[in-house]
Amino acid sequence: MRYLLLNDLNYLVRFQKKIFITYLLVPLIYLSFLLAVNIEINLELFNKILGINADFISFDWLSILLYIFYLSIFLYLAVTLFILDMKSGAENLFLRMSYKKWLFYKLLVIGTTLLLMLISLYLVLGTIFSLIINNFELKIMINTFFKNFSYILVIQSAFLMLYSLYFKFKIIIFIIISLLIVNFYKFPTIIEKTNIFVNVSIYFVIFIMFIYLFKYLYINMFEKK
Amino acid sequence: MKIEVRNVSKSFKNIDVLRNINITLEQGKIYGLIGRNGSGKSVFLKMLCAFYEPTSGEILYDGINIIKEKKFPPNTRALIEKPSFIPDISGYENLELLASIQDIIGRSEIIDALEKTNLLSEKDKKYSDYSLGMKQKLGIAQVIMENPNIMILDEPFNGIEEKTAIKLRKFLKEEKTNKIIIIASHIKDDIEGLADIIYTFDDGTIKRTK
Repeated sequence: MRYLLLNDLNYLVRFQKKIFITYLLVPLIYLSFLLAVNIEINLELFNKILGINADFISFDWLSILLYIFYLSIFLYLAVTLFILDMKSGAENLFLRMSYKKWLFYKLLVIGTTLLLMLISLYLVLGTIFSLIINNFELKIMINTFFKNFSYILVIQSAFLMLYSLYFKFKIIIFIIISLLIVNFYKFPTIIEKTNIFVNVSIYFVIFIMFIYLFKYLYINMFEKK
Repeated sequence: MKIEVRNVSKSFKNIDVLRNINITLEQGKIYGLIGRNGSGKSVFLKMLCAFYEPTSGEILYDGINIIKEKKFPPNTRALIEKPSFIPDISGYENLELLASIQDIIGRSEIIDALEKTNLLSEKDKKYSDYSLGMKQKLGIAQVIMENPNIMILDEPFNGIEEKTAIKLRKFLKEEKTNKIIIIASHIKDDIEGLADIIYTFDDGTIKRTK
């Protein structure tokens, strides 16, 4: 576990610095712009900057862009970390642990990375908003944070499972796109429609399914990496 | 301990890389695999590690088809192609972290492996500051430190100075008694004096030449 964690952390710090900087800079630039044009700063704006009230029905394109921006970053990092051990030095890890143990730890590391990244974003934006808005409630922000985290965790793990399936069955790419489209319409706003308990339950179902399915998929992933 | 490779073929996108390979690898011998770059040696070694699946045929470890069983080979360590470690920590720390996965060895075995690969004096240096030869030595130390039953070494002497190569050859000869040691190289001289049995890879086939 320690080797896996350090290897992934080292990779992120060494090769994904630009992604992290962009991840924090984009919302800050957007917020600075809003402050410059004197737009009213309220809780709705906080949610908008986090891309969690993207409404695909009334089509608020800036919110949608931010939603896609965050989701793309989280999915990109998840996939990059997922295939890292298969791309180089596979013999160091896989001859010492079973594929099940590896997958279990890997999903844990990816989930932890997501958690730390979201905490840093909420800390930065939360601090700024609490300075600007008098009645900015910490309780609401924490609730929003857990909704956001559990929502992305589900999307991320489902995406990784479909990505692994893609190596065996190419048709899966179409399912991924279809699911994303369905997701857009079914969940127009994370903040309104998401239930933390439901998300956590779905995550565990995906987790168990993934561990079961992975034994049929890992060799195809090795061969194509 | 015995590895049986039965009628194994491997192709990628309908291009045959290996065709109908039949060999048996037994304990107490060093096996040398010779062939030019791209002759299928690394693909063969990856199949032995259960990272690749044969297109046809089977590989049995003591009668068990591990690929069918969805397992990696037992008590096996390998260095295939380039060694890869965590760049920002030392060589010793890398080995220590890897050893902690199975937790069957301690500091003394790690130090011993570093000593055998002539890397002890550089053990606290960051991996990213290692030269190519030092990286290769750490890759070999990773293979030998846990005293595995099966050792798979792909081009192990690449970039290693003669003094260390001689020391490693001597060590491998002493260790072979209860092990299967497989060494692949495109340089005949790396293998000839060391291996008991040599197979030559050519055009997707394999032929015993010693």
